[in-house]
Amino acid sequence: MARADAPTIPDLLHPSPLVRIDLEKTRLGLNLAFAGGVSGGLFEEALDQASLAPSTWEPASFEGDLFLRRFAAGCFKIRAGREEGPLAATHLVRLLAHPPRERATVEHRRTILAELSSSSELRARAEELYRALRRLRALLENTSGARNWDPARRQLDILSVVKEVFDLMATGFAASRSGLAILSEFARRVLVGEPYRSLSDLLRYDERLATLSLKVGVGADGRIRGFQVVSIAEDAENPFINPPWRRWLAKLELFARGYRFSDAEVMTRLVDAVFTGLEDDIVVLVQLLGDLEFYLGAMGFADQARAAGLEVCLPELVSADAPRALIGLFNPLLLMSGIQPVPCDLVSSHLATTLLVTGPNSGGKTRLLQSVGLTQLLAQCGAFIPARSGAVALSPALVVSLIQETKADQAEGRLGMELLRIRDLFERLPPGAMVLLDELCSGTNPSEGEEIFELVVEMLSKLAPQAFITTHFLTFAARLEREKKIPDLSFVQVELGADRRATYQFVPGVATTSLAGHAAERLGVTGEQLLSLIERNVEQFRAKHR
Amino acid sequence: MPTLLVTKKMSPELAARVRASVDGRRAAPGSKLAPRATSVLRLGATATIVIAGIWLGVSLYRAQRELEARRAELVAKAQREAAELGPDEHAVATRALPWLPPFAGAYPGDLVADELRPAGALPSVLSRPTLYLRGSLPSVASRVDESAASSFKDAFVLCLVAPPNARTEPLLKAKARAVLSGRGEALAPVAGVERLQDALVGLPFLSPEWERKVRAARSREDLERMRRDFERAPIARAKAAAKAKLLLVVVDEPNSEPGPTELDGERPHDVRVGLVDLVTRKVLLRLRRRVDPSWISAATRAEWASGIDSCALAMDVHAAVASGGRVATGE
Repeated sequence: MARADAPTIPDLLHPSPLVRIDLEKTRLGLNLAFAGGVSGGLFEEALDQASLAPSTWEPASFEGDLFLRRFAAGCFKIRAGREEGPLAATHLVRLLAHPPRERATVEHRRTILAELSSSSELRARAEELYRALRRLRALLENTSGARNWDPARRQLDILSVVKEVFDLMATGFAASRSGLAILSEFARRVLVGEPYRSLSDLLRYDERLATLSLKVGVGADGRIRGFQVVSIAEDAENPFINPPWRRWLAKLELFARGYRFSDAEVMTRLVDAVFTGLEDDIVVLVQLLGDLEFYLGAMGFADQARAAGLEVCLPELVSADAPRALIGLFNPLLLMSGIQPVPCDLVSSHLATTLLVTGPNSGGKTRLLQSVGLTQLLAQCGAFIPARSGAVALSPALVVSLIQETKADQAEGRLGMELLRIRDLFERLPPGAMVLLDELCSGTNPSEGEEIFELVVEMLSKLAPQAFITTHFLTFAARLEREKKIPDLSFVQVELGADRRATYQFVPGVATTSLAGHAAERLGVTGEQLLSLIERNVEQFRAKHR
Repeated sequence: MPTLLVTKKMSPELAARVRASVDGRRAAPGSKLAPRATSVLRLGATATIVIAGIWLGVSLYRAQRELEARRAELVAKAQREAAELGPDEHAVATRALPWLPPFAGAYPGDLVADELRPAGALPSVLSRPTLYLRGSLPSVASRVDESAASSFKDAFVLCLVAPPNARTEPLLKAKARAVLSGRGEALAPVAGVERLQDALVGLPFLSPEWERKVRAARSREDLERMRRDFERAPIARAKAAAKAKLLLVVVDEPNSEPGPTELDGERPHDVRVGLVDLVTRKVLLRLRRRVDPSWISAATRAEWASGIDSCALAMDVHAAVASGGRVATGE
């Protein structure tokens, strides 16, 4: 990753602009795409392989458990004409999975998002710029797949969009007080350069070689009776204008040099010359498209939440000693699945604590862990969190263990695998990390599992983590609450309503029941329901073999 | 490398990029060959076409110039030869040919003009340049070209101009042998006699019509063929024939009586002899005599009957002229 000096790079993700894509490789792809319209996914490939700001997080520790790819595709939708998912989804996922180590970078992004959410004008300009960049990408990569009968016209169309992009950047973000201002700075530098002037001249040459003034005579019946040429004015100042005889000789010259004998070939050479001058400025637009997808995706996430009556916010970044207060926290994975999430408030005395979560089955414990994990991730990326308000302490790592799938090739049984996870957790866990563990040690007999559980919780406290652990060892949890032997250990439970059903809210304390009977009844696993199923099957079997 | 796409109004940077683009550093979309390779191929092809065109043009020019030189040379040669003849001389064939049909038609009877009657008048007249034609009656009547082509200075001509001293078989045979030998000294007496064939064949090459044909020839082959024809044509003899003042015609009538034919084709038959003054356009002599090789010895007759008969006929003519046309044939 190269730190950019002059010329400015329109990097929106970092306070000090960085070139994150492989410029040489992308430039080569850009040239190929411009020449032939087949780049093989120029933008996507360059962004997928782009380097990222240094991060202490390891995506393998949480990416799968938090369904990060589905989250990015489903929640980071971009308003670009019609609602669209991100073009470079892999890049976006990588970006989200690598929260920057530097707080300044996080703040930089938060400032931009704050400005975008407060200024509809700026957001509209950003979306317009994004649409133009997507048009540029579509033209370069020929995404329509249509056969191109006029290569020179296609290249002129590309240059036309390039000019539109630079103009938008120069005019649309001049008033910005955030990192968006770099777009304007970059574009202004481009606009005063010779290559941009040549670009403007070439497009003007293409559109207005000359101006013909006509007088049209109209008869009494309204029909046109004649034309009279009043004047013909050639754009004499345009550097691309050549006298007709010279244009013809130029075609002859090109033919002798191995090109086609045509006006289109003359235009192609001029277009090529102009494009070459702008190559360095165009190639960085590939990176800009990925940057814009991050911000506009985050704005799209906010839009989705708002449409569902939920609110998002840029959280307050605090130290781990500060109290935790996530108000109106919701699970965005539910939102993108079309399920209306029930927001909850999560409050604790301070952030650096181990929180034991108890409550009935299907009471929202796992969903809470997902919400907390995504909140931490989004906050550390500088994006909106799925909560009305909140305070978040930046964490050096995130370790999530929510899914316990059985694999065909796993070497151990369920408890063995769980113990391996715990071992792995302690091998990688730095102090102050966030840890999300779902139903720790549920794969063995409760009395022995509780011992391991206690050991883990006790050891975790030595690393001052922000830990969330769910469990159904209710008696054990009640004992821990009662004994208060482990420091910084807090307890929340799923709140039950008057009908003894989960309200999906969390209140301090340890649950007294898992309400397994309720779940069994809800899912049709009562004695009466099972008996009726048995009788029905027996009857059907007899009828079949009668 | 400079290019016509660069204008004076372009900035130096843009001009440099246009030159770079034209120089072929960037491949054209869809092109299988680099522009430079295509350029080399095209320039090579163009150079080949131009060189071939120039070579073809120069070759054609040279060929045309050579053709014109040959044409001019041929025309000049023909004109030089033609310049030696007057208009009447060019038209000698035209003047002579109308006299032939009368000699091949119904025979009107013998005639010896007064100019020939004085002693020594006939040799004197015969010393003038003479055209000679001998042929069968049908060919003289309608196929002059054919009879002219097969007509040569024979024993009749030699014996008419330089008759033997006596009408004996050896002397007549000597004359016939002299004709066949073709030796110059033997034929010197008939140097003033030319074949009508030479005039018919050679004089057309000296005519304006032939010159027009030469000038109209378009190909080297045509001109070469004309040159060969010209060089093969008997121009010198034609010019000599053109100067003829007399027309000597011998017409062999078909044999009306059955009889043996000798090995050389000779047989008894009537022969008409005519002599016309082409200048005064007057018939000087018209005789009809019978030749019969039967008097010749058997040993000589097989080989020399025709020549001996012809010589004998010439002697008959001399005798007839000497006797004013009343001399009988044979002795």
